[in-house]
This record gives sequence, C-alpha cells and structure tokens, in this order.
Amino acid sequence: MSTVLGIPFSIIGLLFFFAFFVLTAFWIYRPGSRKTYDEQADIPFKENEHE
Amino acid sequence: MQTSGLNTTPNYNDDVVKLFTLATIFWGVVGFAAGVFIALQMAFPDLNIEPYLNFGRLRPVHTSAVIFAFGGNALFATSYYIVQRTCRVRLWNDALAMFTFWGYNFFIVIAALGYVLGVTQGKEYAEPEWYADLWLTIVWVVYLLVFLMTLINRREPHLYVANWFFLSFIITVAVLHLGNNLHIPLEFMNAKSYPVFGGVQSAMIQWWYGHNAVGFFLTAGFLGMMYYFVPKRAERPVYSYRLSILHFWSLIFIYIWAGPHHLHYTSLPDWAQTLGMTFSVMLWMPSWGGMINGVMTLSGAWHKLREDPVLRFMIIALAFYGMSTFEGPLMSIRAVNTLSHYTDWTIGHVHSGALGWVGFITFGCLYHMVPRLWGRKELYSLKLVNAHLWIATVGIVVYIAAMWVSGIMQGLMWRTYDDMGFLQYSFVESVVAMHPFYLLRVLGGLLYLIGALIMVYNFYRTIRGDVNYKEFKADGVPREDLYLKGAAA
Repeated sequence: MSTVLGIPFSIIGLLFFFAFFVLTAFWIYRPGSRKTYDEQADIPFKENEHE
Repeated sequence: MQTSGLNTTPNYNDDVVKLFTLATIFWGVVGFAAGVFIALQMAFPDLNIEPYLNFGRLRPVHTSAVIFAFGGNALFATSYYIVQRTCRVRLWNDALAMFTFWGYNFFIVIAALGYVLGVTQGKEYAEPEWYADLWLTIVWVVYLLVFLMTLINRREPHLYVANWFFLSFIITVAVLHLGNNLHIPLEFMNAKSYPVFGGVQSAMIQWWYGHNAVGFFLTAGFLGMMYYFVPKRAERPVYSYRLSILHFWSLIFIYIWAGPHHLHYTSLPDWAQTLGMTFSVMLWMPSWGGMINGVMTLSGAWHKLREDPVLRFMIIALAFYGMSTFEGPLMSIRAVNTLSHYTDWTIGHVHSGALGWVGFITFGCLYHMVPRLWGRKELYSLKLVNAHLWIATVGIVVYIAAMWVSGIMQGLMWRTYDDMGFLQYSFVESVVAMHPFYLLRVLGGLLYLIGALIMVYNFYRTIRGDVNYKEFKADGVPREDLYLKGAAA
C-alpha cells in the first residue's frame, strides 16, 4: 500500500475529508456569522433593488 | 454590456431565458412521449419498427430527450434567470448567451439524429459520438464563461447559494464529459470512435461519469433551482443558510466517489466496489440535508401549501427527492444489489428521482417563471396546475409501484433454484410474468404525459395573456389576496 511518512493513502484521504467537513462546520458556526448568513438568505428578495 | 444605470431597476436579459423555457417545454413533451412509446414496445414487441425506430435506438432518444434536452434546457433557463436576479446584474454578453441556446439545442438534434441512424458510442447517457461531443465542449465552455462573467460583474457582494450549486454543476459536468469521452475517431469523415481506456477501466470511468451525471446534472443543478424558487414562492428565506453550505460541500465531495456501486459483482476490484457502496450510503445525509432545508422553508407557513399548487409541486418534488435518495443508498448495498441489479427495480428508482424530483421541481419553477417572463400577473389557471399535479403524481406512483413489484419478482425468479440445483425459471418466463407490470408502466407514463400536455395548454393561454377570471373570483371578489401577492413585481 502506498504511504507518505508511513501513513497509508487511505488514512490520509479519510483524515482530509473528515478535517474538511469539521472545519466547514466550525467555519459556518463561527461567532458572529448569523448576521451574514441571514443577509445572504435574503438575496432572492432583492432582485429589483438598486444601490 | 450593462445597460442599466445605478439608479434604475436592473435590466435583465430575459429573451434568452424565454427561449430556453420554451425549449424545456417542447423537449419535455417529446421526451415523455418517447418514454411512453418505448414502454409500449416493452409490452408489445411488434412495435419495434426496424431499423430506425427499434427499442435500442429509441431508448437513448428518450433518455437524452428527458435528461439533456428537457433537464438541460431547464438548467440553462433557470441558471440564467437566477444568476441575474441574485447578482442584480444583466447576463454577460447577449450574443454568447444566445449562442449557448442555439449551440446546445443543435447538439441535441445532431445527437438524436445519430441515435436513430445507429450512430452511438454505446455508453449509457454518453451515447453521442465524438463530433457531437466536441461541439458540446465548445458550447459548455461558453456557458461557463457567460455564467462566470455574470458572477464577476455582480452588484451583490455575496454569492447566493443557488449559484454555488449551478457553478459546481457546470464545472463538474465539463470534467465528466471530457473524462468519459476520451475517444479516438476512426478517421476524420467517420462517425465511429474508440475509447482510450478499455475493459474494467473503461467501465469504471463510464460509471464515474454516469453516476455523477445524476449527482451534478440532475441533483446539484436542480438543487440550485430549489434554493431560489422555493424561498421565492414561499416568500420566506431558506430554512437554514448554514445547512445549505454544509450540505453543499458534503454533497459534492461525496457524490464523486459513488459511481462504483453500478459495478457490484463485476471484475472491478472489491475494494473499489466497497468504496462506492460506502460513499453511496454516506450520501444519504447531505441529500436529506437539502430535502429538509427545502421542506422546512415552509415551517410556520404550511398553509401556503393548501393555497398554492405551484408550491405544492416543489414540495412534492422534495418528497420524491428524499425518497429516492433513501432508496439509492439502500440499493447500493451489495447484499441488496444482488437482488436489485439489472432488474426493473433500478428503472423504478431512476424514475422516482427523474419524474418525481427533477420533473416536478422543473414544473414548479416553470409555473413560477413563465408569467413573470412574459409579464403576466399570474398563470391562466391554477386549477389546471392542480390537475397537472395530481394526474402526474398518480402517474408516478403507478409507475414506481409497478416497477418495484416487477423488479423484485424478476430478481427473485432469476435466483430461484429447484431441489436439483437447477434454475427454477427460464429467462423468458420472467419476461412473461412482467407483462402486466409493463402495461401499468405505460399507464403511469401516459398519465405523466397528459399532465405535461395540460401544462402546455396552460402556458399557451398564459403567454397569450388570458386569465381564467371565473377561477380568480370567489363571491365576485378577485382572489388576489391568495394568489397574486408579489406577482406584479
């Protein structure tokens, strides 16, 4: 089995995907993010707005 | 390209969206009718008209017409409609946008002509030969360019989640198309080509392509439609924007590995089969993330379902999405697959996703878009929308129930042994036993087609500017309070 520094590719893949998922989850629940996401969720209702 | 100043309402390019919308409706009817006809051929083999209209040639006409012509034009129409309105900027480059319309539909025509004339690569859902594939590559790159440039020109600082789904769909389909069509033409003036890869490698690449056509063409793109039109129709923001991000990344990372479940018990190595199975089971969660997010958008406003048949289309679509994305992981488990593989169960599963999810979410979006595109206040008749909804729903239920029974029966008959260890049934006995279910399938498909024809009539009257006044008035009072809110915008 192919390895990097003695760690099999399959384990590296698993860790990469799991880490990506966990980091994404942490990122979207970061403190103060609620306001940003609420604003973004409202984008479909601004189609006729102008600056 | 930008014709509107800062202080005017954005001037959206809806001409190209209208053309794609009309093409969606046209190809939908063609594709559904082709489906009914090939279903009849299964029940009555005499209908195989040799050589141009036999089942083998018409089947790809049906699948390409519904997936690439109906689904593809719907994706173009809605992505162009949505990207302009969520970026609040006109679609980049009118001429190139128009080129994607004529170019894409030209691709469909040359592909379909090839099928009836017997020109095919023999790869499921990738039947078009090299010359059509090259043409589609050009069209697709222009599509990516138009979409990306519109995103770059946006006046809205954020990218709305629907655009993430559309962008992932456009990019991944490009990669899949190039990967699975690495073919070498026999000679310049010859339609025939041969794949670069052979044997099990070719099979693996084909199903990496095939399953991600489901994942990115029929799922990611249509989820993009859902994320715009469900909130828009329900007049409330999506249930959880955070969930939309989390399930987006999970969905696209997991889908790409699920393909090997099409090759259980083949010469594909066991570890690859197990990998495909495991990722297919994991896929259940991000799929349901999208389903729950869409359905729960109605949380606190469930009464809208009772009032608005267009919203009902979208929510029933999500219910079918939830059901088929539960059934899919189940069928990908090797032990279940021994029974389901190569049987009608697979056909039933595909159609609960295609008719239920892809078809219904498209109908919902079309019913929302058409009055707005043609500057009408509402549809000609909401009662006809409701008629379409229930006739088509009954059609789907008949279809998938027939295929479940037929498929499981077929699978069981194939693996029944007698006391002596011989197969109990010959193959033709299983075919004979399926005949009643083939007839039911024709009935289901016919109901779905009738529903679509009702939609065509409704759109014809809507575009002409007709309104069924009787229906919109109760006790002499127009029911604007129920239906017309926000429609004039």
